Amino acid sequence: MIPHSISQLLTEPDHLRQWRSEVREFVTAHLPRDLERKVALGLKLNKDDYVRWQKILHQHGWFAGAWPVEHGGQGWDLVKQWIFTQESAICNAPMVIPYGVSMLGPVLYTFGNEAQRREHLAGILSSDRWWCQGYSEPGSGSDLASLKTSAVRDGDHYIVNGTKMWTTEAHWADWMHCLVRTGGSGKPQQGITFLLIDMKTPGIVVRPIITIDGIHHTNEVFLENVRVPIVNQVGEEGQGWTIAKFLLGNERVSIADTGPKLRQLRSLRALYAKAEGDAPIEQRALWKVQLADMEIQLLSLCALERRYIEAWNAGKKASADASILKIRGTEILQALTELSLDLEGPLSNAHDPKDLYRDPLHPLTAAQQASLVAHEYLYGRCWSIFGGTNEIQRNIIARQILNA
Amino acid sequence: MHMFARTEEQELLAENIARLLGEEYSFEVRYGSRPGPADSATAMWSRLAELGVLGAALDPDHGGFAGDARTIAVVMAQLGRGLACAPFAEAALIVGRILQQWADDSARLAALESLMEGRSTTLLAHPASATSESPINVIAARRDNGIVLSGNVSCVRHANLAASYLVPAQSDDRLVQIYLVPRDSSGLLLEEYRLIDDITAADVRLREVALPPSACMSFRVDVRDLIADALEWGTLASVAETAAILESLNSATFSYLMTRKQFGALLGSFQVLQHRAADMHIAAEETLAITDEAIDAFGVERNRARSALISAAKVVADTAARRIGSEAIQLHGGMGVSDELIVSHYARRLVALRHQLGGADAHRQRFRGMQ
Repeated sequence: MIPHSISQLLTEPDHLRQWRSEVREFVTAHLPRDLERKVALGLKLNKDDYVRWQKILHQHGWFAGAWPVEHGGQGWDLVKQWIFTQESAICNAPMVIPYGVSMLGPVLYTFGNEAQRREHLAGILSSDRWWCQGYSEPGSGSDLASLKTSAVRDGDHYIVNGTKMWTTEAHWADWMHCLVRTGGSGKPQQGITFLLIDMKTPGIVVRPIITIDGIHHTNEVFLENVRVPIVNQVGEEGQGWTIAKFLLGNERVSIADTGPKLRQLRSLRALYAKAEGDAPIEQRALWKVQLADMEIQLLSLCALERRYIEAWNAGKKASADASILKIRGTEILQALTELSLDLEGPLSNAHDPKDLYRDPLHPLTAAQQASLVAHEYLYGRCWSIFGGTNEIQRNIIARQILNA
Repeated sequence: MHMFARTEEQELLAENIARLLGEEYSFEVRYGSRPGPADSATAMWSRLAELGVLGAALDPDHGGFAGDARTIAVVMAQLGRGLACAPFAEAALIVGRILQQWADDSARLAALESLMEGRSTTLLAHPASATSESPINVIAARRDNGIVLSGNVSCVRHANLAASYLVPAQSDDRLVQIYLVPRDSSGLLLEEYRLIDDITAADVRLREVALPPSACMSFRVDVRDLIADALEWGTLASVAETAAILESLNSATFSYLMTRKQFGALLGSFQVLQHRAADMHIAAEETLAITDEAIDAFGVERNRARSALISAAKVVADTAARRIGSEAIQLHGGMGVSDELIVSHYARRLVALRHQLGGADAHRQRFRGMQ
């Protein structure tokens, strides 16, 4: 029997099991069929798909789980948030795009003023105002504090000049939350300010970056003499680094991101079931062991994820735990996609980015399905790089364990 | 906080074992005096019995005070950290789990009491590397109103310490029974040898060992299930011990990296070593997390999910032990291979643990089979 998810092997206390089945029932009842198919098959979702799902969540009071109730959220603790995210993904729901609801929202209700909350929170909750994140720059990736985009005061405006890079879905965004340099002296972490920028402001040009999978996910954003009202500065001038660290800290609950991996494991098992019939017995035996090993690695990631999230929920500081989850999560994701490619056998080299846009309700050919597997493999290369490379994460772990 | 402990009783138990091992049987004391640690096994066993530790393996219904997976993990973690060569997993846990189901009330009570007091040791005659799926090689034949056992059980750990053995054997009709066989039975021979973790093991050779019908033990549950269950508990014990040794090795290695200088700089300042240390830490954390999950799974009777989870834990522990065992030595440089440092002793113990009750390959297969 193929279980709903291998993570079910872990024992869960009744109240969490109950919450998990509530999530499952909700998603099963409300997830539109075409979206469900797109996610299950690994097709590309467009902005409207994400907006549609987020609006459904919002209408039923399932959106912004992490936000306090007084700001329109659900007040879920970390464990509830995590189970929601994991179980939704297992049930083939689209991910919740984090730039607005997970990243900016908490920044606004923590550091923002009343006017900024009034201006932006509602649009985030309704998904009518779409956000992107302007952090990385050419030459400033994992070494984020070296960023150079400058903001110079001019009356009640900043004049912003610079280039942001790897700005995912900037081409969908109405607004960008952005780190800029407002001061030059002292440590690189000082003099960074957090700004909200309307993407329609004159002087902004978005140039697509096509990634290794042949898809336009991400962008370079050029800012030339962009006038940003001072009222769009969140927190104090120079407080940007503190805010950025707070914002990234909120990402820890989804950093291992086991939901989509459990979903992929299910596809991997299906692939194996398909491949096994034609494979020689020695190959089958080898695959079986590899598959078992993959499952065990993912199961231990689930165990580690739960252990840390429960500890954080009880008040423990995240320290290097999040780095461990980032490293193992991405390594396992990549291993999953590599094994999937191997299982495609003769079709393992099939790859046409156009296949990502196929009709989800229409059967796919074997080559088209293989193409989607190749896409996962190729896009999977990004994971160990963005959000701080795995090498940076190892530095962070070493700092903790070696007290260097 | 001691590893795996959640309650005050568990903390106290861990503290007691840690003190015993630290004061009377510390690494320095035992390894300083040749010929070696195996000689201390018997003495340490009595001290553990005196402290009441052996009762941790048994249910309160049977005179013990715990018998739950978490308490057992707590004990194993301390024994592992202290490099104890005492056969807690073999003689208290695995055998205790089996004896608890013995249907003969008075014999059961006497055997369990003797176990807890450390008076006489009984061992399950099963190969050290066996899993619950391994075949049984001893044959039981009826003869003259009695039973005759023949066969060979290879590598029974601590075999020399036992006064009697629980010998699983298969009869002509493929029925598996457990026979209680005294060490001094005629036809029972031990071929002893030392193992990589310094303990003594033996091939137990049974050459037409004649036993009375009463030697065939009757149990309240199916014998194959009983053995499988006991070996799973043993596997949990080995994983918990592994987790503790991994932590000890890591902490020794990390502090060495921050002490030893090379080319005028601390070893720990080199990024390549920092990253290897980070991977050691990750491996130990994974083992700890999956072991904790396995412990929780032992809250229920044996089922497929529990069996799958314990196999998963064994694979993770085995993989981590391979990495950390070798990296701890490598990062210690020459000192890592010296007999003087505890590092090489932990590393050898890890090799033994990896191969006990099925290695990673066997448990990957078993994990697949459980789903």
